[in-house]
Amino acid sequence: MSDLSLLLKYSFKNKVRPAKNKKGVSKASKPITTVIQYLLPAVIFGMTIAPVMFITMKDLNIPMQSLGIDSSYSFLDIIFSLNFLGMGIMFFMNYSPSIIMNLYDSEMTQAFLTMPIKKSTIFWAGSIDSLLMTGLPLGMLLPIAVVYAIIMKANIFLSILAIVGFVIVLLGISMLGGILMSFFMSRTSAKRFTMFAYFGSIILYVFAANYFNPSNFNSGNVEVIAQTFKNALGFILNPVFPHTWMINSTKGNLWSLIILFGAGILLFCFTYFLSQKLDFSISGKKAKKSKKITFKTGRFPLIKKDLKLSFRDSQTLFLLIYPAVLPVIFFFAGNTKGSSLGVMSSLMFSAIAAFYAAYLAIMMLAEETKIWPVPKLYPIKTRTLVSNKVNIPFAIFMIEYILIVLLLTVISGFSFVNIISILPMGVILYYSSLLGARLFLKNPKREVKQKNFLSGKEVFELEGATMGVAFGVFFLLNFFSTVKNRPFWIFVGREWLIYLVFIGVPILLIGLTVLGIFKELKKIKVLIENWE
Amino acid sequence: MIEVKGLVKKFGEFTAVNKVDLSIKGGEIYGFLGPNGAGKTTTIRMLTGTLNPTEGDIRILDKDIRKDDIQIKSEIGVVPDEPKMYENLRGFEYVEFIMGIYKVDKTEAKKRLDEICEAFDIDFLNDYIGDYSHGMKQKLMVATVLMRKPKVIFLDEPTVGLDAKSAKILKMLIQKYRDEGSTIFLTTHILEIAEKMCDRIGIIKDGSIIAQGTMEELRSKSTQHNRSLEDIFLELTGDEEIDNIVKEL
Repeated sequence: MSDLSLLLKYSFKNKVRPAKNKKGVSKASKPITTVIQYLLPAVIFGMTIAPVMFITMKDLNIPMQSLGIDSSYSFLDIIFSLNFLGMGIMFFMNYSPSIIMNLYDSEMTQAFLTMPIKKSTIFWAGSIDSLLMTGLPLGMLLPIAVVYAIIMKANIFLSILAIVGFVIVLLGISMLGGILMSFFMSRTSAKRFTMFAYFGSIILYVFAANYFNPSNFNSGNVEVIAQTFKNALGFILNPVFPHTWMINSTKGNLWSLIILFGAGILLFCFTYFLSQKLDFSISGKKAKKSKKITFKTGRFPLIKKDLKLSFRDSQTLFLLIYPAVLPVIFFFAGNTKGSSLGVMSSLMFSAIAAFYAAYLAIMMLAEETKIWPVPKLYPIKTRTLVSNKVNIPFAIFMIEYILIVLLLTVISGFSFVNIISILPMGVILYYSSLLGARLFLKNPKREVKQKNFLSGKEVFELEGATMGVAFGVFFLLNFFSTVKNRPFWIFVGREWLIYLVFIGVPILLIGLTVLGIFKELKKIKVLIENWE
Repeated sequence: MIEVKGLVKKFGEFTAVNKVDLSIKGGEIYGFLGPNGAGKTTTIRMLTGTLNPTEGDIRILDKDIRKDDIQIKSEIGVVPDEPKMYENLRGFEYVEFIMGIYKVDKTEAKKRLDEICEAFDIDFLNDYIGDYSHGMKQKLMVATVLMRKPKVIFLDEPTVGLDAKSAKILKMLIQKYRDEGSTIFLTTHILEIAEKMCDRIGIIKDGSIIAQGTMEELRSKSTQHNRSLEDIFLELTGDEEIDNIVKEL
């Protein structure tokens, strides 16, 4: 146990770089601070979601039998089981591969193996460490389970036991999954799977939030919705699912509780047994032997390489597709219609894409600094290396925006404002990419092994400038016709003021942004000369 | 092939390289030795155009590195001290990238690469570089440099991470390339390699070259009549008190 706590203590210490105070003295934070930092998002989410869930779901404890459906479950069970199932899968998808990453991608694991520490201890330390980093879905699930028990007016003792049992089973399944995955996944595929799972689950969550909006489940629609779920009941509350055991246990079914704990203990025992046999040799696995490889060389090797790297890093891929996916979700979720669809789309896209363009430029530059100074050996100007990182996000987001405008034209008809908006969007996106590159090049020797390589101040600066300009321009532009048709407040009877504010200010902002582009280009030129 | 005059590199107040002069001809293997932190890698970085000198002139292949850096970079090959490569590329994609960026003749480079892969047992080009061990990365790095057959080759600790067979093949290849007229600039901590392979050796300490010449010339500089490069190196770098240190330990 002391080995385990020692490994965890230094793992948490290692996650935070000591910050320097005003006197330049490094002050390391305590391990518990790191733990709190990682747990905070889950706590905030829990505190936010729990009351909302309670208020929206409190009247839905309607037995299915009262709706004419032959089942012992209530409508509440169906809705909550969807949550438990979804979050359980989300947790498994995040946690299992992150265990592999934590253990097999860590240089420390090899060092630990040479020390008098049991392999199982190394595994458990890695698993607990990963739990902190990927435990958000579990943190989201816990308050929801508590809200469920409160609405059900279930026995407190049984409810706590059921939730604890469910968590144990989820942990057991995920740990066992992690061990089993390590038998066939390589380090790179585990890394990629972790990130894809993480961002995939965020997109799924946003999608689900739009489709399964709690406001749709008001009591007036219960019969209609219950009928929709009637056929799916056999699947959602199937007795093979651990969440069904938890729901049954909460309702007082002791057999389900025994199965829950029995399965949990079995899973943990099996995981412990396998963890003693681990050889931590994932990196030795090979793909097919490369006997016949046809090399394809052509023009633009740098751009091809940058595109490959961007589309293979799941975080970069997420940044590239999310601004386009979000408006599309709105198109098809059906919550927004008509001209407001165009307003919402361009507003959402501009604000998100502007920030992401800057961040993408930063991440692509970071890929080069990871292997620095090797890129400086290539027979190309450093200026070319940097300009690609600015141009690629700009070009991709422009293509995405043009496609969104085309889609909008198909759905809502031709709009001159939508077409003309391509121009300011281009200016904003190019400025944002340049700003990101300049910010990174201010300190190219920064630590890039972890994904959060921007300081809080830099993120604030980036968000303020990119999202501020984007929102300022597109908010005013999009509301021009609305205010012109229905003037209010100081705009009543003053058409010139409407033009001045809703057309003049965006033009001024765009003009200033163009000036900003030239300024950033000059700064980047100087920074490139000093980058060695 | 490599001409260096009065090379200086300062990082703030600290002088990492101090007035270094070098003259290395074609068809020569030059061993550049020195203790840790002596300035070897900083010198190599300046010679290969990845670090700007504070003072001094560098001419590689009769070209000034300040004016013709891109031209020089396309004609030299560098195996850095750490084989850093894009981890999200597969091995063969990295080879394609190098072929593209150096605009090499594909057919000839492919033929040479096949031979090098065969020699170094490189059969992992379909895998992601992120899954490679240090030795595998080092082999790929060496292969992508040698397939271009550059006129000047800089090798910073090239045998680190290589197995005995690969290290031996690399040493033989270096000698073969030397015989064919290439200039080899080599740093290593394995003094036996330097002694056996290098035509001339330069020893750097605290940023300055303290001795330079053939093995015979270096032996003549030894006041204690040392014969082996290891003893001469330790004598010249002031680490001759090793016996006493070991006894005290």
